[in-house]
Amino acid sequence: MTEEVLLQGCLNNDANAQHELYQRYSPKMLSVCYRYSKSREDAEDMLQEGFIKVFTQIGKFEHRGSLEGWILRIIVHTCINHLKRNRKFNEHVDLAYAGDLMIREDNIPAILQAKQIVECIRMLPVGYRTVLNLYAIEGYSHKEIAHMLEIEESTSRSQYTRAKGMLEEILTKRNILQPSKEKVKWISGANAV
Amino acid sequence: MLKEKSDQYLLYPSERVWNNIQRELHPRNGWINVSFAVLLLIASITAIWVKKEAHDNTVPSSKATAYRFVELPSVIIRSTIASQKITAPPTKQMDQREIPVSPVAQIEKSLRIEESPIQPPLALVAPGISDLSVNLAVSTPVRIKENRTFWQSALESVVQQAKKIGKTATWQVYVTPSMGYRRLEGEASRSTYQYSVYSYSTNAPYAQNVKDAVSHRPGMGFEVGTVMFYPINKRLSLKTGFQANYNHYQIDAYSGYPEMATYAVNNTGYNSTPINAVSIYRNDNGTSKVNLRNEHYMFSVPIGLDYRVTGNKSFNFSVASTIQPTYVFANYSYLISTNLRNYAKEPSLNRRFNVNTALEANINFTKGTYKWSIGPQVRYQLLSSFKDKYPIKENLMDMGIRIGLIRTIN
Repeated sequence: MTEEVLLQGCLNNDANAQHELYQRYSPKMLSVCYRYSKSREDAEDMLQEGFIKVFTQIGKFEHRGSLEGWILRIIVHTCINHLKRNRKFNEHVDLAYAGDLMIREDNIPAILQAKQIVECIRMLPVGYRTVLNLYAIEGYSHKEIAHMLEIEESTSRSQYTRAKGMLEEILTKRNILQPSKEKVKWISGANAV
Repeated sequence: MLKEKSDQYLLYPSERVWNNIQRELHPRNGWINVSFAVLLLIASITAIWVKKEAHDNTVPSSKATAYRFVELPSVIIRSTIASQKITAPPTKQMDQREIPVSPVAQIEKSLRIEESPIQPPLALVAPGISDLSVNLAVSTPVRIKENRTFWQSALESVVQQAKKIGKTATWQVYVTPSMGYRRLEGEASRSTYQYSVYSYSTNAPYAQNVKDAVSHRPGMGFEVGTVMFYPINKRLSLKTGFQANYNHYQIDAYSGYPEMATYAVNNTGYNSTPINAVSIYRNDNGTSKVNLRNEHYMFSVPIGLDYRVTGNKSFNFSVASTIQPTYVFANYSYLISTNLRNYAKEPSLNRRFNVNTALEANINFTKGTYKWSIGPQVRYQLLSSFKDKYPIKENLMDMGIRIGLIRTIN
């Protein structure tokens, strides 16, 4: 089914089209929710809330970008709203608990490595990981993040710096990241602070 | 690289998430909620009414819910201090099962033991002494505590009430010749299922909506049953009973060569397995035309309210609504495949328990010693005839004329 047909079906509140759209995008969106949440259950709750918004607001999609990008934005905003209820974005936490190391395997399959990285991100305190997710993965600017999380822009920057350091440490301890050279490379995908 | 690695990681949500989304976006048929609300209302009215009646009967005065008042005969005692002819027996000899509440009553009781209990208020006068008299007692009600609890009293009251209702309850037997039909909803599935060694796509090349794809006609059915009417007030009656229904409709189809037809999928996601059946009937393009009969036999327990709109006891017009928990004990149905091409029986997808609702309007009149009731009735099945995994939804409906014979129970 093409994206146009899918969209039209969803606009008509057609259950089959909605299911198709959900099946197409839910795995990726759940992994996004998972990065922001503290548990799988929380992630599924976020996903559910997000997709209900997607289906009820699909008439507002204006074809300016990709459908996936539009859904992703709704899901991310849903996650942020979910987290805002706890209001922990201003916390500064020391990395004292990231000591549990997994046994390193040679030639770790890429997908397993991806899982490990996501799990490492989830080990960060909620404020750190939210800023890291938004800045380094979703690509929001610190100004946008500050607006979304209702914090100071400088707080967003400092949270990100600390989050980055903490993540590097966790990745290194878990032998996913080499201590010296790769350290810079891991985060190089993100914009400079 | 962090983004790249994060994007590689996919998670598959549990079925619960989609079910919740689906429930939110497509709430169940409003009829179900309305019916349950009506049922709840009926239950509430009945409960309040029974409770009120029980309360009225168990509380004769503002106090002493578990006491019975007994009026003892008045006794006037005229006695003198000097006289020893009248001696009250010691208190310990008294019957301990009855607990008098005052010394006056104790004396009254002891006197009653010595004297004849059927005598009217009695004056006991010692011979020769008349001046110094003591009027000890006058008709004092004595409270005697009963061993029954409040709940026993309430139960007794309810039983009494039931007996009272029984005197005014009416009993009806009825038969309803009807035309059976169905409401269909669903679309051709576009999923690709795997069975045997072949990949099989269920893309329907023709009509996508089942309503457009199917040709079906109403069939004769009937309903027979009995209900009791319990009057709640002059106009409103609670009705409940037992009934059996037979519903059928016909489908235009074609006979064809045996084909594999898909009806549903067990589970979703990567481990899904299709539910297939061998079909010898096609929805179109077959060798010869055939008529398929879908038949349903069911028992129901109608519970509802009957409201007399106008008229008197011998001639009136009433409307009634019932909700009917239903057990379908036989379902001989041909199901259309999810690609809307074939018909076959797939009993594993039939739903056994269902809920129906009925609306009726009746003219009730007395003819000789019997009271008759006649009027149109619409019956609608609230849940699909098939389990949720079958994507096509079918709601049965019957429209008929209800003919009832009513007797008052005495």
